[in-house]
Formats: sequence, structure tokens, C-alpha cells
Amino acid sequence: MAYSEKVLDHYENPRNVGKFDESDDIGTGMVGAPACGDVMRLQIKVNESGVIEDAKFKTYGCGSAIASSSLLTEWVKGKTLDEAEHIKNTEIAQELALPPVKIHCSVLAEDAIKAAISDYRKKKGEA
Amino acid sequence: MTDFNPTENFFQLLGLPQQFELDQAKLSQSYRQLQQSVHPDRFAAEGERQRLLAVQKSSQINEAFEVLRSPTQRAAYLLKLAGVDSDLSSATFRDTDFLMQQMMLREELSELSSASDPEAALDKFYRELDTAASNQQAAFAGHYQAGDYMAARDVLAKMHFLDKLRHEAEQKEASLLDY
Repeated sequence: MAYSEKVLDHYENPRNVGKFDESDDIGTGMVGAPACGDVMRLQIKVNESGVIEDAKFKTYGCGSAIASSSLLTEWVKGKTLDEAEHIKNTEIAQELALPPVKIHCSVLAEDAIKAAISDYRKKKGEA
Repeated sequence: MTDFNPTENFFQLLGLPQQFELDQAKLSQSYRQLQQSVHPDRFAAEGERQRLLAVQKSSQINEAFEVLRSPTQRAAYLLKLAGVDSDLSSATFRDTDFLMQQMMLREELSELSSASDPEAALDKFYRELDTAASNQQAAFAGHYQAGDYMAARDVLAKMHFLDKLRHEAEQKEASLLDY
């Protein structure tokens, strides 16, 4: 199966790969897809006004899973938690031109950002 | 030839108890005996229908053997027989502790090639995987026996992650040995 140019770009030059040390302003989302064994970690660094200042990810999986999480870290920067929470997997899939068999990679990325936001809110005692 | 019975499940077909624990030696022995009983040579003189049935049975025996000898496939099959949906293709898994451990193991694997003795490091890695896999298999057996199929399905998901990791380790091994 051929990857789209955008997937290849993110796969070859993934943005924001890495890890934040755990602290109060960091939210961490860990998700996995049992069927293909992909594991994704997505972290957000949130400032006092509830805006995502920075984001990092690490994904072990196929090119589409790496591209989905890489793109998402770019998108969430500068967004409020509420805005980031509303990003839909279909937007990711559309931007990356993912074929139907790879849609679940974008779902995984959406679940990862939601998990990261929920982890951050839990730390702040909001959830 | 024993009668061809398509409603028989794989455990019944191979004469094994329907449970997760498996006697590998008994599985292999039963498999060989059954395959001999449907060997084409035995049906050379029979009619076309009998020959066809023997071929069908042989392929059913092969499938049963492949499913039962793999712990992960056996676990999924047991859940299927219990009427539990074990299709994990669209499920997102969220056990943070387990996933963190998976991430660490994947990092360890990706750094293996720069170890001073990659082969020894890989051996150690396989041993870690073996331990993790037997722990999950024991957990599956426990939940299954207790009738807690939802918990068993969670363990099945973990078994999938470990299988994938083993597959990647094998690819790594092939590249290290430069096959």
C-alpha cells in the first residue's frame, strides 16, 4: 500500500518526538491498538490559562500511526483544552489522506489526546 | 475414517479438554493420528465423495492444530466458543501501566543493536518476553476458569501486544544476524 506524501513527510520527519518529565502541568495519554500492537504516548504541556503550550509524542507502530500522532502534536499547540478535545479523527484522516484500513490509526491519535487531557484534568482535580 | 462432523469444535476434534491449559505432546500426538486416518492413500480406492470428505477433514484438522497450539489463538477461540466478541480490531486499549511497560520494552529493543553484545542482549530480551507471556497466559487461564470473560478478553489484548513485540524482536534478530 502506498502512503500519501503527507504521511511520508511526517514519518520521515516526525515533529515533536520525545517525552516531558512528569509534573503538574503535563498531561499524558497512553493508548494502544491490540490488533496491530501499536503503542502511542501523547503528552501536553498546559499553561495557567488552559492553553496547550507544547506537545510531544512517541509512537511504536506503522507509518500512519506515527503520522497521525505527529500531526496531532502540531495541531494542538496553541489550542485550549476544550478546542483540542474536539479534534476529530476524521480531520486527521482527511489531512493525511489515510486509506480506510488505516482509519483506526487516526482514531488512536484522537483517543490519545483525549486521554492526555483527561490525565491533566485529573491532576488539577477537575475531573 | 471417523465421521466428518463440521459442528465439532477444535477441542472435540482433537480429543482435548476445552480449557486454556494444553498438553502440547498430546496435541501433537492426536494431530498426527488424525492426519494419518484421513491420509489420501487410504482413500485411493474409495469414491469421489469419500475422497473429498477426507480432504475436507484433513484441512479442518490442520486449522484446529494451528489455532490450538498458539496460546493467543487458543485464548481467542475459547472466548469465541463462550460467545464473547474477541474482535479487537477497533478497540483502543488504555491500561496505562501495561502500555508504559510495552513502551519501555520497545525502547529496549530499538537500542539493542548498539549494545556491546547485541546477541546476549537479545537473549535477555527474549527471556523477558517469555516471562511476560507466561504471566499473561496464567492470568488468562485464571479468568477463563472463573468465568470472568471480560477480564480474560483484556488479557487477550495484552497477549496480542506481546506477540507483536516478539515478532519485532525476531525481525531485529534477523537483521542483527544479517540473514
